[in-house]
Amino acid sequence: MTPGTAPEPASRPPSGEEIDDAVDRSPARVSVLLSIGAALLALLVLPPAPAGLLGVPGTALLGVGALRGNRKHVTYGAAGVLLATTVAGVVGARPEVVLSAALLSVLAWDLGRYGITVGEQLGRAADTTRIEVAHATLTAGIGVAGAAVAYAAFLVTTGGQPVVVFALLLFGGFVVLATLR
Amino acid sequence: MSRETSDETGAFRARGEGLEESDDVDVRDHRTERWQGIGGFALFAAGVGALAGSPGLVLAAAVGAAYAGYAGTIDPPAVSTEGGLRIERHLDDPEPVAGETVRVRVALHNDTEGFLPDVRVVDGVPPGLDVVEGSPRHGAALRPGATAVFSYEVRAMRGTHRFQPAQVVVADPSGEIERETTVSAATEIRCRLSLSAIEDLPLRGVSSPAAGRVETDAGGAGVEFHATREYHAGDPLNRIDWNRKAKLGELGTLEYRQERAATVALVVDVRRAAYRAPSPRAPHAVERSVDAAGRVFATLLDAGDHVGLASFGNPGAECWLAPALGHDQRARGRELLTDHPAFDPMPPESDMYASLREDRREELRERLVDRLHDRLAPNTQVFLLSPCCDAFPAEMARRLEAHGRAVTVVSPDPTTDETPLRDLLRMERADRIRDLRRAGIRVVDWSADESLARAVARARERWVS
Repeated sequence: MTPGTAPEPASRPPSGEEIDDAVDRSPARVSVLLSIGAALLALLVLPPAPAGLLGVPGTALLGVGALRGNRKHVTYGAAGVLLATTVAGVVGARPEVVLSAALLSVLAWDLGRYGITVGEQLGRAADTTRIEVAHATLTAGIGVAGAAVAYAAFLVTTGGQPVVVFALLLFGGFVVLATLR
Repeated sequence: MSRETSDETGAFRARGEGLEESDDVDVRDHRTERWQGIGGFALFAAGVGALAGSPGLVLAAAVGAAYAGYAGTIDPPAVSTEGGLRIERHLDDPEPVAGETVRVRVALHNDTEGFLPDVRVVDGVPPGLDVVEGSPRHGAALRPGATAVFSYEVRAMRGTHRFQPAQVVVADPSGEIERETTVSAATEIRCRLSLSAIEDLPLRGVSSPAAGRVETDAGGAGVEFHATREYHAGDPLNRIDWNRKAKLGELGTLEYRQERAATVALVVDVRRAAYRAPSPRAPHAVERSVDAAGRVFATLLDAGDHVGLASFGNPGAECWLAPALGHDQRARGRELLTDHPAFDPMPPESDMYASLREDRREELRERLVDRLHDRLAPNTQVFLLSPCCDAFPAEMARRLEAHGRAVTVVSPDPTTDETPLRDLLRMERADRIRDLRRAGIRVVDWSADESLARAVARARERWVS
């Protein structure tokens, strides 16, 4: 018999911040929705065959990961959609299609993981809409800017030159930028 | 995952460490490396695109390169130890009464020249306070000079609570670099105990337990009729028995039962063993004991008694307020119960004489009880406030009673019957209380779901019969 130990030792007074399960840390809503939306748009843009074979399972995995808060699933899912994009590119889809599908799947990948991060740090109860919208807008902006520059270069240079020349041009530009830094 | 970032950051950190007046503000940069895979994708897509002759894939590679380039070259957000972010807290009542809810409005200012698109704040809610509405966490996108406001509600718990610095994470637009820092603002919330009296509280006296104070068997001035006697010269006119004069023609004097104010010492058990709660979220027994002490204190003062206050069992802090009367005493008692360290909502680090052998510990504890007895004036009653979760409070009550003191135990009940073990402990406590009652010691057994006034009323029925 231990007379000194009664019910629950209250080692610390109750506090919402201290007891972890009091904060719902599931992924932030807006980012999750935008992530799944971007992946679905990529599916719509891609030609049916690669979209159906690789894109749909990828999107499903990404959606589950984003909702449940599993970064690995988000990454594998996005990789599936990117693979579908690559296959589409190989089998000769139009450059605009491949470009926009790649951009959308990268965005889906990033937003899914961002939602998880924000959920972990701030929780569902916090108002996080503004940072989520700001992050989505700015991240999309970076991608769109990169795509626009590349597409402009593509329109200017495609006068019968082989693609390798264009690829090397972009790669060289990237290396120059990186060394300038 | 984290590694040193750019040169600027290193230099910056050195500067931050040099500044000693910037009290403990620490800035840490953390690379999330969230874009790590994107460069690989870019090279892969560019290679496949070149091999397959697909311009689309090369364009896709350019998108990946853009992200990799951006994440690799971005500077950390311009928030530093020398300021950048400023926080202000506004409480709708900085001195609430314990139990009330208080709304905390937090304003976050961006004093930098730059746009901060991703500011994540976790406000430093004091550990003793419970957030009951809203969230102390917020995400803000702040233009230069802009302010974001959010609010939440906390339940005021007895004591003085200092807000801690808010934890802030500022991220760049791509989320690659997260700069962690703290932003402080001195905010204090002092929740005072409400000293609301309960209707009435019978004290232990020598005669009937009728309402009110200690009654004596001596006749004299008072309220309740005691006896009549012959008139003596000098008896006050208002106590002459006029009925007797009318009937018998002789003067008589009415005697009333004499009442005198009692002297009571409230002793709160604050040993570690008293910090018990039925569940982690429920108030523990010391909190309820202090609450009960406040109510009893107010009730007795209202009735004109002398009341004092003592803590028992915290080796680090001891509270003692000698019994006295009146408004000043009331204010003093309230202050002490509100935030004297002996009544800390957190249990003391160690128990009394924790390092000693059991029998030696017993002996020293008994000596402490004797010291308490010696400290009190002879007629002082003792109210012992303790959950009685171990044998000691009952022993203490018996020992004081043996010294000739009238002891009343007010015992907040922290037990539950959720598991067989807890049920056993509950029954042990019930046994202890039964034994105390059998020994003639009054016990107010105060369960978690009733008011103190109700518990007293229940106990009182027992005392009357």
